Amino acid sequence: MNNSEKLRQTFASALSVDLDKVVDELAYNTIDEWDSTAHMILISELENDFDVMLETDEIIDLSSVAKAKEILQKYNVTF
Amino acid sequence: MTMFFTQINKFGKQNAVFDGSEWLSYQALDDLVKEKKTYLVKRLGHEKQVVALTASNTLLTLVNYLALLQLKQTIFFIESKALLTEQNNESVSLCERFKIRYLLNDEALDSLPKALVHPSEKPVEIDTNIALLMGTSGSTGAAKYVMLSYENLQHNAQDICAYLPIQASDKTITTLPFSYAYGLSIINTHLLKGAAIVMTTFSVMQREFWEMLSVHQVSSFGGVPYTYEMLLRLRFTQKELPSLRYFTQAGGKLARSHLDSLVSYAEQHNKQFFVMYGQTEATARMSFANLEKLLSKPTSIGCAIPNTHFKLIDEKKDLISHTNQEGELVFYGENVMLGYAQTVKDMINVEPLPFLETGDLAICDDQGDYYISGRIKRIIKLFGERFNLDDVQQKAILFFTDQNLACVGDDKHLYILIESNAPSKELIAQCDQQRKALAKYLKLNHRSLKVCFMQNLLRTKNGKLDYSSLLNEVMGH
Repeated sequence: MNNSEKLRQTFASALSVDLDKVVDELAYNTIDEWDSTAHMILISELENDFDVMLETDEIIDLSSVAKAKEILQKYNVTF
Repeated sequence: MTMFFTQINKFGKQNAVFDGSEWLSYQALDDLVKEKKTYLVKRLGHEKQVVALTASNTLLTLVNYLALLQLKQTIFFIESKALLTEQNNESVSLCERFKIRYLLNDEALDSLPKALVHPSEKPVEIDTNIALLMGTSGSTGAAKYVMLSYENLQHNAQDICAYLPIQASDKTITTLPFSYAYGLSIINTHLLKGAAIVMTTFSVMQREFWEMLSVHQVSSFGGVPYTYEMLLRLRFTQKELPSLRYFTQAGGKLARSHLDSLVSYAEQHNKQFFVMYGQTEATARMSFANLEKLLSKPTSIGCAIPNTHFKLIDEKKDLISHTNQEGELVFYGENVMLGYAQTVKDMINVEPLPFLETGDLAICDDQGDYYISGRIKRIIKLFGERFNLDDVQQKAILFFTDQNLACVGDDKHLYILIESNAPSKELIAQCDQQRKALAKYLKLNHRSLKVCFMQNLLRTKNGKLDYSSLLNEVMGH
C-alpha cells in the first residue's frame, strides 16, 4: 500500500466514512463525521500510522486531506 | 425578582456580543430582542407552550433565547432543524409528548410539518414557572427532560457570580454547546454582569478560534474534560495568552495528569483556575474548587457554591454527620430543578423540589470539602456527553437482536459485551455493522464503542449482571 492509500485508509477509519468519500478536497466541518472529536482521533491516528509528532499549528491547519499530505510531506512522507 | 434576561438594556453601550463580524452593545441586543418578540407574539399568541429552538453559538440563537425567556414561553433546545422531521420517529413522539407546534430556527418561526403536530384535545396549562426543558444526554430521544424555572436560572447565575471573578469588562468565548447546561450558564452569568461574549461556532481545533481569542483579548473560557484534552494536545500550556485571566472546568472528572498540567500552568502564568461540579438537574453548578484548593486537594470537588449546601445520606436516607464516611451526595439550593417531565402532563402545577439526590457517592473531609467517590447510577461521560449505561443497554438490545448483552463503560469507551461461546465470522461481522449503527444513533464516534464477546456474562449471586466485574474483565482483555 502506498502512502496515498494509507492516508485515505487512516481518514476513512478515523472519521468513520467510506473510503471513496476520502478525496483531496474533503475538509473539516464539511461533513458531520469530521467534527472536533473526530479531528482529535484523526490526529492521533495519523501520528501513529505515519510515526510523526505534529505541532500545534499543524494540528490546527490540517483541515483537509490535501492539507494533511502537505503537512506530512514536511516529515519526509512522500505521496 | 429582577431577572438577568429582562434587564439587558441597563448595560447600554457596553459590548454584549461579537457575532462573527461586529460587536453589538447591550442596547442593540435589547433592540433585536424587542423586534423578535413582536414577531413571535403575532404568531405564537400569549398562550404558554413548548417551543423548539435550534441552538448554536450565534447571535441569532441568543436573541431567540432571550425573546422566548421574556415571553415566558418554554424553550426546548434542539441541535439542528434536521432533528425535527416527519421521518424521525423520535421527533414525532417528542412533538406529541410536549405538544410542540413551532420551531424557532434562526430567523424564522416555522410551523412544524402536519405529521408532527397532533391536534390537542384540550390545551394544557403549562406551569408559568417553567423556562426550559433540558435534555440530560446527547440524544433527542431521551425519555425525560429536566424542567428548569426562571428562578433556577437567575439564582444559579447569581450564585456563580458570587465566586467566579466575572467583571463587566470581561470577554469570554464560547467553547461549549449553547444548549448544554454549562455552556448556557456561562452565557447567563455574563449577561447578568453586563460582560461580553464572543459567539463562535469554531472549535479549539480551528485556527479561527485562536485568532478570535487573541484579537478580542478574551479573558476567560470554560471547558469539559474533553475540551482540555484537546487544549493540552494543542500544547495550550506553552502559550502565553496574556489576556486570559481565568479558566474553568466542569462536566466530569479531569484525568489526574491533565488536572496537574492545568494547575501548574495556572500557577506559573498567574491565572485563576476553577474546577466545578454540577448537573443539569441543578441548573448547572453545585460546587467549586479554586486554584488554592486544587493545589492542596486536587481530587476534591471543593465546597457548595454560595447560598447552597450539600448533605450526605446513607442507604436508609439518614443524615451522615461523620467526616470521611461515604454517602449519597444531596444538594440544597434555589437552583434545584422543578423535576423531570416525560410529557406535557408533567408540566402542570409543578412544585419545586426541596433538594436534589445527585446519584453520586461522596465523602466530606473535616474542613467541609467534598470528594466524589463513586456513582449510584451507572453513568459515564464521553466527550462531555453523559451516557446512562442502563439506557444504552436497553437501546443496544434493539440493535443487537437476539443477543444476550451487557453494557459497561469508562471515561474512554463504551463496551457492549455479547454472550457468545465461539462467535462465528458472520456473527462478528454482523455485530460490527450493528456496532456502527448504534454508535451513529448515540452520536458517538464509532472508535469509542467497542464490542467484546464473552463466554459468560458474569452475574452476582442474585442473578443480576455484575457490572463492575464485567468492566474489570473487559479492561483486562
